[in-house]
Amino acid sequence: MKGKFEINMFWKVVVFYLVFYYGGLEVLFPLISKWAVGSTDMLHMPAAALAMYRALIFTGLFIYISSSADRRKAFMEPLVRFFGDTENKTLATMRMGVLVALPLVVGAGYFSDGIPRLISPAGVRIQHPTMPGSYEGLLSPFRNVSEKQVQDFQSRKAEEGQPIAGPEDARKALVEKHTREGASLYAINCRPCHGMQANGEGPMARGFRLKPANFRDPGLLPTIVESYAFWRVSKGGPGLSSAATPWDSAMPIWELNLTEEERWKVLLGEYFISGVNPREPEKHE
Amino acid sequence: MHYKLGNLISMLALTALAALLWPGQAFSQGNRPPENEATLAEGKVIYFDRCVYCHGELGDGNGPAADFLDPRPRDLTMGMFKIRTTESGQLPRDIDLFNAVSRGLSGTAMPRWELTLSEDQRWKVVYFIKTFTPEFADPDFNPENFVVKASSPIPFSEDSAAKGREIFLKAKCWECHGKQGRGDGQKSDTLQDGWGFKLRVRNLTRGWSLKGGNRPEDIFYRFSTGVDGTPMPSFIKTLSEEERWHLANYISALASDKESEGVVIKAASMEGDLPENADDPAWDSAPVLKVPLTGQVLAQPRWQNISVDMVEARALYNGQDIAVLVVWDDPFKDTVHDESQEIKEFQTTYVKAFGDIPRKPNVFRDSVALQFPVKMRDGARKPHFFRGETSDPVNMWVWKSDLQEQGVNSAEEFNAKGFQKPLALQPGESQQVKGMGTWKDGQWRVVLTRSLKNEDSRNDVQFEPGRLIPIAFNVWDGSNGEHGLIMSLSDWRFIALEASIPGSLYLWTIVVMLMVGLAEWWFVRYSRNKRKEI
Repeated sequence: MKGKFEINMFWKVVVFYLVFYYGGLEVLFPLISKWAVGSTDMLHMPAAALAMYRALIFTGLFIYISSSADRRKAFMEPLVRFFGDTENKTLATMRMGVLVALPLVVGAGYFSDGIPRLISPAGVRIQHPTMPGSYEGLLSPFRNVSEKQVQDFQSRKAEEGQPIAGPEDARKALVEKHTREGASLYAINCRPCHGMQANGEGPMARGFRLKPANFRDPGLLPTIVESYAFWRVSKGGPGLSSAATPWDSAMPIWELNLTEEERWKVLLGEYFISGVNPREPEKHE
Repeated sequence: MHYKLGNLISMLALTALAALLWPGQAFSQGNRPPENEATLAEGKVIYFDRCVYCHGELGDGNGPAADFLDPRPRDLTMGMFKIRTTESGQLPRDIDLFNAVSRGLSGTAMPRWELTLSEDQRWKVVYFIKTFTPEFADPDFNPENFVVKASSPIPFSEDSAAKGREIFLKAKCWECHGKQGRGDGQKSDTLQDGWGFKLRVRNLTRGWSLKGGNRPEDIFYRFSTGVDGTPMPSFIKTLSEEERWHLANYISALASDKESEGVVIKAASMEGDLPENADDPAWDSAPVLKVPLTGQVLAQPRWQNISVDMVEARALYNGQDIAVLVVWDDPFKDTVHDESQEIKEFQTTYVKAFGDIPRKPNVFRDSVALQFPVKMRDGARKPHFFRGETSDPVNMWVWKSDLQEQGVNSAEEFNAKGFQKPLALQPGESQQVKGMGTWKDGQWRVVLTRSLKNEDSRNDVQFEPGRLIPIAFNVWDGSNGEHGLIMSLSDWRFIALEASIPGSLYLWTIVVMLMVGLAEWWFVRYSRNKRKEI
């Protein structure tokens, strides 16, 4: 400990603790994670993880110091010099300060930890839980119309005196008709919350803390297949698993009030009003 | 339809002038497309893709969603428009229609189309809308010749608002809008609009429900131009422009848009008896939480034409009891309930705005319900906010104005196990909630009181200090036809009793500090001995 730039063992330990614990975990970590996820806020480490790291650092330092008699001595020496001094007046004043401050700081910490506090009811919510298998692979009977549906539509149109020549034109016209019917169903049933602009800002949305889904969100409709939407419309909030906090969802169980046909049609309307095409289901080999 | 070039130029010049005069107007002349066959055709496509569901294929306001809406979608064929900057009875200017389309009409189903339609698209749809009313093509009706002057706006100040309050009284605005502006002035519910539908007077204290906007420059035009098709007259002849600006400043100060931050009703602790009366000054010590309400749209019969869109809640407690004060605006005091008029069967997913239910006074009661979970759980898990579930019931405290009127205890306790089952009234000995409500100037103030804890923990909520207890609200406005599941509701908020600091904490803190002191004393002794060795 005679070198020009050497500091004693006690301060080494203190500096090490400050750099790693405060510098690393409380400042650097939030900064790095902020940069890594592109967030505007600092992302702090969870309190439980912080406590664990703090304990690790403490234990590590304790083992480091106590495992060698030299280090133990080197660590204790400055402390003993400071607290055991009986001559230096400056040191006496400083010592008195430390001796008075320490119980106050510990007491204040203990007291403020003990004040009963309301724990904020924050919860993690899974946005898109897995749908039940029975809905997987379902296709909209009004978007994926059969040849028979098209032929029936063509002959009906011919009877009405508005014949449509090509089968492809007829198919388009039939899906268009379903879409218009679905959009009207949407306007009656979904618009109050999800809005006529499909942006989740309908006139009834204001009162709900869990905001109605914004169908224009690029992270929503483009990422789900139509049968998923059909499941959500059919079973509503109560059909969600508990990880998706069904008790906060205002989504109705539409199978109670809309027929299966209406529920498929309303989806055509929803996609149309949102300006989004449904995601194609993956082809499995 | 023919367009004279001269007309078009003068119209453009005037709209440009209007743009300069209209404060805060985000309207740039450059982006306005020309009005011709091609843009009309484009406007028509937009109309049939976006507007037709409410305003109808014929523009007569009879689209498939129209029956469920109050106010009903505008009939665009009559040339009668509410929100204008032109004199009473005149057509709206293009910019008026453009603004209505862009900003939407607050408190109605008309959305802010500026969020999803470009400026270009909005102009084109305005051009198309005008084709439903032939008068728009007639130079004699050119609205630009009837623009209400708004030349010297008076900036908002407390002084101006105070002058506005005097004008509010002098011009008898309160005869309809009520002394506090809560829309409770009318003596009966007989007001009708120009389309034959029953009319609700605006509650001016709700900034978000003022159709034409809640800025002074918006409000100025409402009583300057009048609201055509409603009993709201134009005051352009009876009040000077200066007076109208003062009035606009007063109304805009009244029209609050403020909502509470946070979701917790912090119950304040007090010594002695809790106030039984809603007007007790003790309530001032309890912080208020404004809770927005919305229509019950979760299950048939769904209802979107609610009249109560917010409650203010406070709570006080002492060693034994808790009292919750709920305050909400309701223009009519309804204290009877005719069960025979309750509607049980509905044909449609939503209740129709007119005709399905009796929306008139003296049929159904006004009522409020507080809802709590019966079982408290750790973590986020709760029963569903709409009446709980079979496996997770809720406890409901229901205050009823008709019981209050009969002079009996006005609160009843129920349990609910989901919206598909009827509410279950608790037996007589379990009825422990006391209720007291008063109605004044278009506002109910209701106090509900119960003991913090009771024996019936299988059916009743138990209040524990320091715990966040979920709470939700249901409100019924009888004269709006509301009963059963036709009501306003909130989702979960929380109520919390501030836990007091336990006496033992002070004691233990002293013990901890003494122990630290003892350790210090030992270490100093140890160091002095050690120092001699160094």
